[in-house]
Amino acid sequence: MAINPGDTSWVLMSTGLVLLMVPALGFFEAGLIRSKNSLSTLMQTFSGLIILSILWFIIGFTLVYAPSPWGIIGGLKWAFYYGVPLNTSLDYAPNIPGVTFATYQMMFAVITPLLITGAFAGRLKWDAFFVFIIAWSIFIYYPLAHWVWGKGWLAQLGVYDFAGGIVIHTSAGMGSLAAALVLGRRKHFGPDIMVPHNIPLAVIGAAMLWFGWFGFNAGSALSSGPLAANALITSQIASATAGMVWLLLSWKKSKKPSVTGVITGAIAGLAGVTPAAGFISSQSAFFLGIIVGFASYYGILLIKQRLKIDDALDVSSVHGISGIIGSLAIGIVASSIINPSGPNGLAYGNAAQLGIQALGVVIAAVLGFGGTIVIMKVINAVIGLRVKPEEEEIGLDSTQHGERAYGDEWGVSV
Amino acid sequence: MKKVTAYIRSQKALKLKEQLNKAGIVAMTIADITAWTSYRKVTLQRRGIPVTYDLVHMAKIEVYIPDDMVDQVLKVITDNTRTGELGDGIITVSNLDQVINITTLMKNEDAVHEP
Repeated sequence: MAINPGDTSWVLMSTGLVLLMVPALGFFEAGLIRSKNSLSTLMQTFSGLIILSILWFIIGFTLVYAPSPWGIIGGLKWAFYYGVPLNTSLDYAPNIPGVTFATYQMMFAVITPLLITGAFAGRLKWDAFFVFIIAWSIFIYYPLAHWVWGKGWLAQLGVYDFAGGIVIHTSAGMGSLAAALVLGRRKHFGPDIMVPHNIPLAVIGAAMLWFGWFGFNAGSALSSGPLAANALITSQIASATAGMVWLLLSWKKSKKPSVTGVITGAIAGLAGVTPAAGFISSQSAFFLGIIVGFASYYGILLIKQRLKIDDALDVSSVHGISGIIGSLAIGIVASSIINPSGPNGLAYGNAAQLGIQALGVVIAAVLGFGGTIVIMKVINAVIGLRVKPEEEEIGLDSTQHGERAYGDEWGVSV
Repeated sequence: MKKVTAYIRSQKALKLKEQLNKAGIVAMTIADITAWTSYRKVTLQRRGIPVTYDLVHMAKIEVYIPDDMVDQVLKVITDNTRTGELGDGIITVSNLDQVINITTLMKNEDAVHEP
């Protein structure tokens, strides 16, 4: 099919924008944890970009997007990108080169397992991390992405996910909950260890994530036109309203509006609107952001404070709960006026879509949660998951990487 | 009154703070310090190349206590910081002439109670 230069430019740009989100995620997380573990998180996100790019090139793209007879997992015809068209398009994205589509999707495959780094921050061994993200990609992300985006069985049932609420945020969010449960709490779990060591760094990370998210959501239109325009404004407004809810809630609870709170709320709003960005109106997104703001805020109170599950950076709430709500919102307020190739939701006379969306969410949550538990238990049995208590106290930066975030000539910590 | 100063591994400071508090200490100084010894070196890396340092960050914890608490406090410190490996640090105990709480203007034992 014909390549459209405008569409191609936008998707090429969006590829870079989503790539930027990977180090941005690292900055966001590193700023919110103690300095002795900050490099380990930056290392996990940056090296994850390397490891998972290679994995996607070798086998990921073909497992997700190559045709499959049963809709379970793609074939191997595009391994190592062999045969992925450069001068023509794939029918997933009819206006852009096949390799551009494949590489844009590479960035999603990179960032999804890395979202879980927020859950296991401060206690996972480096070698366990290395194995974990590869196993998680192959056994959870690739199949799930194939089912929803690669014309697999969930897509055939009519499950919609614009930019990754089911495939990315539900699976990684529930995976984070599982990872936190399997790993257990950090030593001295409590206020003493929840010290954001560099909030400005976290704000830079959040700002870069927000910026990059335009590529994530509006880029998922795979074209440069009204659909991308809608996805961009829905992303912007949902992020703003979710951030506003967090601003007000933190203001009310502690009498002072919280910087770490407001950036977390904005990210929750972006995660929440992701699946729906190309299917719902900006007016719906306005309210979706508000709901996501409340749900993620109280989700953290429930999971971290009440249940004392040490999901260190609250990925299960900020991404998981938000992604689930956004994915279900498609079943309620999606409108084919916004996207003629998308579904109508309950409010537009198609009640069945809500059930279909719920099925997609349940499948992603079960696979993300259960699959993560199995992968982590196997890694634990073979090479071990958690650093030694002494190493955890010293910090992962020097014990896992032999480097320090803020070295100075006046000495090193060990 | 005595001053007890402990130079310990930084990562033990959090635990020691809690345990000293359990033993009845209600205030202390906790400082990041740099220590040098001729015999303890730390190897980290830069771009894959090992680099050895002889200046090492440690924590300094200082408490002011009545004379009869000295043995107990020394035991809490050693119990909670000792690994037996090189680099566990040292403790010093010294006499104080006077301790005065600026808020309450109370002296000595009364100066280091909870207000």
